[in-house]
Amino acid sequence: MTNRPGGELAARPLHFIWICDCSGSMEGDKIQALNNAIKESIPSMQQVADENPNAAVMVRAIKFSDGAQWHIAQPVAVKDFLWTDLTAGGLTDMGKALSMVADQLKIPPMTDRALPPVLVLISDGQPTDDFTSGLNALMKERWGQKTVRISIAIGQDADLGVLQKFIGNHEIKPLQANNAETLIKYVKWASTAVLKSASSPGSQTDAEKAQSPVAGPVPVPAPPDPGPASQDDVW
Amino acid sequence: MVTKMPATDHIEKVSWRAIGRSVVGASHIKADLPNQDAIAWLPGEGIGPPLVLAVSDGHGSAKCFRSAVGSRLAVTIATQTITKLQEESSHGLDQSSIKRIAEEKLPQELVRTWREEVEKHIIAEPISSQELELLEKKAGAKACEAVKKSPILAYGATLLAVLVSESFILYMQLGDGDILIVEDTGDVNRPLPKDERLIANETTSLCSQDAWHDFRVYFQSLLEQPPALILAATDGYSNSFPDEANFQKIGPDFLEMIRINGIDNVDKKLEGWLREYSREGSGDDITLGIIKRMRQVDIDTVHDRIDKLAESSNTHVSKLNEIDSALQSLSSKVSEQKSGLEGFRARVNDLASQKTFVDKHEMLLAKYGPVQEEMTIRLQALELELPAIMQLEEENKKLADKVSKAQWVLAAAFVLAFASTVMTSVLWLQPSSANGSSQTTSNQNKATDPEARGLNERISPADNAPPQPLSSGAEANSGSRRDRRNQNRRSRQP
Repeated sequence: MTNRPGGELAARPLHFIWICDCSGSMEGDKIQALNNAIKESIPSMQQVADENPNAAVMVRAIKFSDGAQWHIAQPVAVKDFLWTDLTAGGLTDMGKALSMVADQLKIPPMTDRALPPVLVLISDGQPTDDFTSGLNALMKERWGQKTVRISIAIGQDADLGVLQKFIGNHEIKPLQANNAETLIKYVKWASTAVLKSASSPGSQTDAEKAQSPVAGPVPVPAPPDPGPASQDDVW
Repeated sequence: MVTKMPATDHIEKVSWRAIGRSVVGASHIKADLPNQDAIAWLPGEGIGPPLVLAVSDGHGSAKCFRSAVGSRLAVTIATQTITKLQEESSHGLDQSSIKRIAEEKLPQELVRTWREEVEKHIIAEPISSQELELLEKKAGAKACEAVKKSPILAYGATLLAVLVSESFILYMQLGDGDILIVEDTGDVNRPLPKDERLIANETTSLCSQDAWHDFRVYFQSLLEQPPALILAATDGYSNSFPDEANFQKIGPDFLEMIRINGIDNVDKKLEGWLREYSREGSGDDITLGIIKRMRQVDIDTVHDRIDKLAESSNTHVSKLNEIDSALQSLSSKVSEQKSGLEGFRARVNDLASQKTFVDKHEMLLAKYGPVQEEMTIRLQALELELPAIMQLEEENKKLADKVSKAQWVLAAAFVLAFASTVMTSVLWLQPSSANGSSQTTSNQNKATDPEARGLNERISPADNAPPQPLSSGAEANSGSRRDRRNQNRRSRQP
């Protein structure tokens, strides 16, 4: 018997999942900008995690083009998180990616002691597969319903309607990034401000939910201002 | 020596004891938030039956900014209301009636009373503009509107309560948190099934419109074997463990600790443990209430332990006395050693200064050793030369004497030469009479001093004239001297 009753102690896991569009339209500047943005956000993300020691932030990434595939399959502690560049080519099977994420949000492998997972969907186009089935599969899971969902549209061709459906909360809008600099801003915001909010959530009551049925499990902070449209908007 | 108390009928039936603690969460400390949990039991001394214990977790969302008040009201109302039910049930109600009341009426009564008390609190302390501004800043205008519309939201809290009577145990729960029962074997069970809806910090609450619907109630008759231990905790506790197995291990661990060390000992350590769970686990406020069935064996164990403690305390006292005297003796020895050390230190200092002197001496020796050797060699050489030097000195002395004598002779010769020169000059210059007398004197001198005579001869070769006869005056002078000598002889005779 140890000096203290009970077994091992652990901070509550907080799963953070990048869901990245790697279709052919992302090829070139866009995929490179996305790779750079995620790489640049890592130190800030690690800092937020350090400031919240009672949340064990674990990062994963899934990519979709022709089908979907885990880019980082095993949850990696944010302090050990490294980004391997994505490459683009193929279709936009977003629905498949969501159903694969849904599988990972079942209990098990999830524990009911986790903090609300954060899903960040980044896309520049329209799904080429059954997006609705994928989203339904996600929302069928208890943890799927409790996820904090953020979406970032790269360029004018992204399907904002689909990205809004993914969020499932009309108070939170998809973020429109038309250049690399704005993309970095949004990626950094999602991986720091949103992560911080999910790291220390207060209990929410069903009474609160009754008043705002679409509200997510944590308050989502206001996103950064993308600034006025300019000639830098190349996408 | 403590006398073992006879077991009373009351204890032999079943005695229960309640302890508990509530601590502010590690992340709440960082965020400067208060402890939003609460715990209470009745009767206050925590001994029953009857015994009621309640814990409550005030919600942490921004809208529930008065949840610490809500949780305190919840545990106070629950312990009072349930105690009242127990008192009524003891007046002839059968168990099925009590069960029905507990399941149907009690939740409504609890929610109704809580809401009434919250409304009273709102009237006494209306929601302030500062509170609303802070809420708007944290959660937006919509959250602010929601609280203005329904201020009771600000007080949202869960409730877990356990009533232990002589014949039954009642378990009630609204919202998240955990109630565990631990059997004598250490096996752990949940009397109430988990509410699967309650993940990701979402919970049912006393502030919900039909909150009484969400109460989960379990009635346990004590015709069955009563549990050894009942644990009621807010969710900050279970969330500090990675899984259910690690969490449920608290059941057998607490049971064993209480059996071995006694419930008071565990009570003392409880707060520190709860802080540790929060720090290393969830970071949330943690509250734990423990109700322990005091078995006869526990009580006997306590008495045995008291007897043993009394014996061992006597032994310890005598040992302490021995240690005390040993310490005193040691202390005086230490003083002696200390003064000895002082002397030693002074000696060391002295030696150190001597050492410095020796070092300097050695340094000088090293420096002047070769010079000394050379001097020794030279001295030896001088000693060898000493006889020759002494001989030289002797000779030198002799020479000096000779020189001295020669100087004297020379001086006399000069005097004589001078005198003869003078006399010769006089003789040559003066008349013959005068020459006669002078010649006489000169002749006298020649007659009395052969050396001078010789010298005269050498110095005055020009005076080669034949010697002159002696004058009468010379004779007269010679006779006169003879007369004086004779007179002197006569005068000395008697």
